[in-house]
This record gives sequence, structure tokens and C-alpha cells, in this order.
Amino acid sequence: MSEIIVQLFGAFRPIGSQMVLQVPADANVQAVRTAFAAKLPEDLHALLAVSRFADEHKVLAEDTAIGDNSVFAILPPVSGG
Amino acid sequence: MNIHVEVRDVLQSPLDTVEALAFVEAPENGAGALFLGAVRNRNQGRDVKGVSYDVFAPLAEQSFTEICEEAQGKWGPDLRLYVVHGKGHLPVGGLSIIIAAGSPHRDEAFRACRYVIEEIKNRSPVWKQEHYTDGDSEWVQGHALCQHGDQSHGHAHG
Repeated sequence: MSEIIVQLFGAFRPIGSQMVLQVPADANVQAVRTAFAAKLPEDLHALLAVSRFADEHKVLAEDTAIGDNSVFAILPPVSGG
Repeated sequence: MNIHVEVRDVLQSPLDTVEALAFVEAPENGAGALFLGAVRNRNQGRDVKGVSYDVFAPLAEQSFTEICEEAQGKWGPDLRLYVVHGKGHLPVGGLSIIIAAGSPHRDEAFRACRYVIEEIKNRSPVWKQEHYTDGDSEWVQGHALCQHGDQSHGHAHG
């Protein structure tokens, strides 16, 4: 198992600035999503469904292997400008 | 370098239009356009007293750069672009974003400014939480991001 950090933004902020998860070493983003959802309050699951995981460089496809990356971000729908 | 992008903590340093226009000035450019985004006092029928901006800074700055490079691809390499987005709390009237464009002629500058703000609204990882005069606060509903690949084409949902 690998320990990863998911940084929280926007409407996920009320539950903290980050969440620490344990995922299999060969996990992909979909597995991170599943582990994240398991620790998420029920009222935020609808928001998670329209949110994307990212690293510091790009928004990640669900089948992307996490590899050596240990820090991710969950990005709810954006509203900048 | 003819592109400047930045996420700035507004509590430490307010956004500065003079700085923005100075960056896009150049001897070959006869036009400059400026877009300002500011906190307004009313949204969706509610009285707003301020907005807090949350930003995933590294990815936001990268998206600003990509969008500016796309604008240069559309309107020419002489286009000079400056983008700064605020992070933190702003009262009504506070500047949340400045986009400046300098180009040889006005059409490119106007179009580039419009393109950059629309793409930022759809693609950049920035979120705003409105604070209302009745004491309530809410995160503004926004545009769902596409996954990598789709996002590079500027598509958005919502």
C-alpha cells in the first residue's frame, strides 16, 4: 500500500485542507477516487461525481496510474475570473 | 518573455493595472486592451459583501500560460499578455483578475482579452466563495473540468 495526499479545494474545503489515503501501489486515479469517496461525507458525493483529480501539471484521466506521485488535488467545478 | 502569469495573495499585494499595462507595452504594439474582474455587490438576487478566492496555484498558472500561448497562436507572436488572478478575500469592488493584452493593432488585443478570460473561467482551477450581508456564505457553482486531453481543447461542461 502507498500513502497519498489529496489536497482539497473549493467546496471540499469545509472538511479540511487535505486528506491522507492508503491505496494499492499499482492504483490508478479511479482507485484514488474510490478510496477518497469512502472517507467523504455523504453530502459531498454528488460534488465528487463532477470533480476531477489532478497533479500540479494536469487534470488526470481516471485510468492514469498514480506511479510515484504521492500528492494529488481534487478539483470541483471551477468558478474563477 | 512576452507572457506574464501569476496567482497573487491579495492580502500581501493588490492587483495593479499600471503594472499590467506596463508589461504589455512594446515599440511594435500600437494597441493595448485591459480586462478587469471585480467583486460585485449582488449575485443571483443576494446581497454580497465579499468573495474569497481559492486557487490551486501551480496548475492555475500553468493553465494561464497554456491559454496565453493559444491566444498567441490565434493572433500572432507579437501579442504580449499579462494575467494575474487574486487569491484570498476581497470586498465588494476589489479586483480579482487583470488581463492585459498588447498587440500591433486593436482587433487582436480585444479578441485576446476576451479569449483569455473566457478560457480561464472554463478551465483554470479557481473557486469563489461568496459572503452575503445576511452572514451566510456559499461556494459558487461553476464549470466541471474535462480530463487531461479534452481540457487542452478548451471544452467545459456546466
